[in-house]
Amino acid sequence: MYSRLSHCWQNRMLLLASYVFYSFWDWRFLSLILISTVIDYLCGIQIYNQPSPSGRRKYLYISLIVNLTLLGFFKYWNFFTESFIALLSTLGVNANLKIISIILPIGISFYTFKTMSYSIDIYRGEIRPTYNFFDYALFVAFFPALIAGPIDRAKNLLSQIQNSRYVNKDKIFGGLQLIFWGLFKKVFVADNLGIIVDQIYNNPASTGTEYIIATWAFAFQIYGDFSGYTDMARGASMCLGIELTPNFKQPYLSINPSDFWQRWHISLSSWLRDYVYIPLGGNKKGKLKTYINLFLTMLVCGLWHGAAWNFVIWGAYHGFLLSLYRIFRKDTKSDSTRTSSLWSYMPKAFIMFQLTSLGWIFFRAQSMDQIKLIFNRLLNLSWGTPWNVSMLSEVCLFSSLPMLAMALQTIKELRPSWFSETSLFRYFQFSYLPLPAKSAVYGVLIYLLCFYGAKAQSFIYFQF
Amino acid sequence: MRKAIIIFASSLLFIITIEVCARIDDKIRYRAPFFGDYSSALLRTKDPEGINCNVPNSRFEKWKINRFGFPGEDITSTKPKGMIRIICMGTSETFGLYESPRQEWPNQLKNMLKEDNHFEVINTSVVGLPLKKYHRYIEKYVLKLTPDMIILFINPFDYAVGTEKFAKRQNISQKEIKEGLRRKISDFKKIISNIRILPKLKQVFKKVIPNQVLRRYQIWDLKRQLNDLERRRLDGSKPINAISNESLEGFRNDLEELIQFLRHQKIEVILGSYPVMISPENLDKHLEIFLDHRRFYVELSLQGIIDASVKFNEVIESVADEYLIGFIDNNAAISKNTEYFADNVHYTDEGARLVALNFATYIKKQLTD
Repeated sequence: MYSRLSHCWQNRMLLLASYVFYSFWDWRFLSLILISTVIDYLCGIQIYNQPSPSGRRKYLYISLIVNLTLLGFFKYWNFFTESFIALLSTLGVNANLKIISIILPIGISFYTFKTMSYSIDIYRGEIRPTYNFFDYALFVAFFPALIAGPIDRAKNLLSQIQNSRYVNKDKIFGGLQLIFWGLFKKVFVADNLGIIVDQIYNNPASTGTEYIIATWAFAFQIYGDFSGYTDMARGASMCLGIELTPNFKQPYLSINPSDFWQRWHISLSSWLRDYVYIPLGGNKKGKLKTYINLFLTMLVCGLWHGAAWNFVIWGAYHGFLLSLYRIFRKDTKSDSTRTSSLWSYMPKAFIMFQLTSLGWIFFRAQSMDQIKLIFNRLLNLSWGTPWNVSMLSEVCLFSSLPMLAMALQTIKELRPSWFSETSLFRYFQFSYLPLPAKSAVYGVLIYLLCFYGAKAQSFIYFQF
Repeated sequence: MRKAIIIFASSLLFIITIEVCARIDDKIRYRAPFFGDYSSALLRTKDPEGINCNVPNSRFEKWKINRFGFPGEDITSTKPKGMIRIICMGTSETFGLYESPRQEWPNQLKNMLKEDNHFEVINTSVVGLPLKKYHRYIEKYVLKLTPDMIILFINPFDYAVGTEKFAKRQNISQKEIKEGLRRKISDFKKIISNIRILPKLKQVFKKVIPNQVLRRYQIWDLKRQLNDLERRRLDGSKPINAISNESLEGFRNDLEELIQFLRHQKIEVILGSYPVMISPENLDKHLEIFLDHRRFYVELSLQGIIDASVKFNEVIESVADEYLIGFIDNNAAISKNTEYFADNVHYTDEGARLVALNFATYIKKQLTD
């Protein structure tokens, strides 16, 4: 039915579907999306039409202030108020500020960043505004990406919405494949690992080795959870004829912090690079300023993830890693270029994975006290501390498929010739398999999903 | 044409793969045979005397039979010194059906009495063992364990439709199972019944399908089955609303004979009433549970099933009074809802815990008295 509609009606149908989808969570917060949509739609046109730079700047500020106010109030009000009260109390001042019970509107961090990027891109002259309100409203509220991204830019998403599109059998099949992979990553990988992670992180008596296992498990849980959602979102969009930006590129294969952020939550990291890091001066104002800019950008990244100090520390930690890497790296081209030797590549990827996992402790911990407790346990680890082998093997079992995919990807990146059209090795790639072999693989995966999939839990990134 | 062949081959390969996965899964989890039949029938047999018994060292899914032919972990035939050996005799309610592994009531009773260090609890139940054969079964398989106490948890419903009729019906189905359902079921149906993925998928669908939809389907399907059974078994007569005095007398006589035999063996007996979940008050809420249970006793109407439950339990209580033996009224002690019942007569973990607790309290009290 969708493919038979005219382009205009396809968009209207998708817009209605997006609003209905959001209303299932809480219809009252549709008003926030509408406010953000209307303001940025009007500001976009005004920015473009203003003859003077000051006039353009004025409307850009209106757009940014509205979006940041919405985000600031609903997401950060209580965090900043509580932190301010705590600060004053350490100075001996008893502040009587009110903590309001605010519900965090789902997806607010994603759609406000999307609308802000639209206004900024117009201000920079990179895109033209759309005069069709419904097209713009769909760009903001497009349901597959509304709740947890990817944070697609107008250049990619809006242009697809504005242009007519077609849906064919291949797109539907490809989309369904992506949805299935996403579901598998979520239900089999992430939710099963989530049980182990919760078991350890919710038990203050857990040992240091258990925290290590749980943190490795969490690394794969959050990857399966978030990339699973992204795959499903991309798959659903593909079925509707729209291609969303990929958000992940085998992040645990990264060999340094800079490489990691080019592979993890790509739409957010590129957003922060273009709208925070570069406006702060990027790497053009000297070494020290570059390090500070990196640190500040990652601090924003941490704060974007959640209004809590553990996320701020997580951001600061990655800012620190990026700055440190900048200080010690030999040349700028080595960020993501692969070394040809597996033996020099593997230790780098292994160390980077451990550093990333260390960061996940800040991300997963529920309070500063818990962070202290975990580090205390880790620092007091001795060689004699026993490892919970059954738990470790469970983590390996549930992470085995992402690990297998990573291993194949590593070989592919290091030895691309092995996967050439004439090589038998290419059949290790799913896309090269003949249909009967694909159905056998699907048989195994569907079995695992049905009988070993955990009870579905909420997506981690929904809270952001 | 080539495309059609590829699609057909792919579909076939998909089905074969998930079936192979199911078999490998069974092999790893339950040590099930990769080839051949795999059903709960592997656990049960009849000995040369025609007494229902478990197959020693057999396994099916969560159920495991020890080398003596009793459900659960292995035991020693010699009674540990100073211990009171308690035997739990019953059918599927005692054997455990819906409970999590090791949560059937005899096992929970064992755990409850563990701290006293005076008791050893052994579950000797056999699914489908009729009361008439308890005597011989105990004589043949249980007495060698030198029990001190036997808890009798008897399903009296066989008597409601007439024990001979019930036994005949059971024999037919046993025979059907033994002969690989050769005569009754076509080869195609036999292949279908051997596919291991189907029952697993059924469980998944049950979880995935919304409760209301599933319940409506179950009610429709059970009514259809019941209509068919009524047509075949009742020969036009109506289901009965009250059980006959002959049935009650038959049950009383067999129970008394068993108790006399056990007394003669100097074994202390504890009798438990037989809890049933469905009552006129909760029938509308759990119609599918009632219909499911009625499939086995199609001769009884709802009123008939409730009447049977009340009257049989009265018989059990009066026999206990008459012989001055312990009586635990589980039927009164367990609330009639799905927190405790998984179907009309089988328990959830929590239901099994309550049954075990009632017996444990009584036994501990006996010890202190």
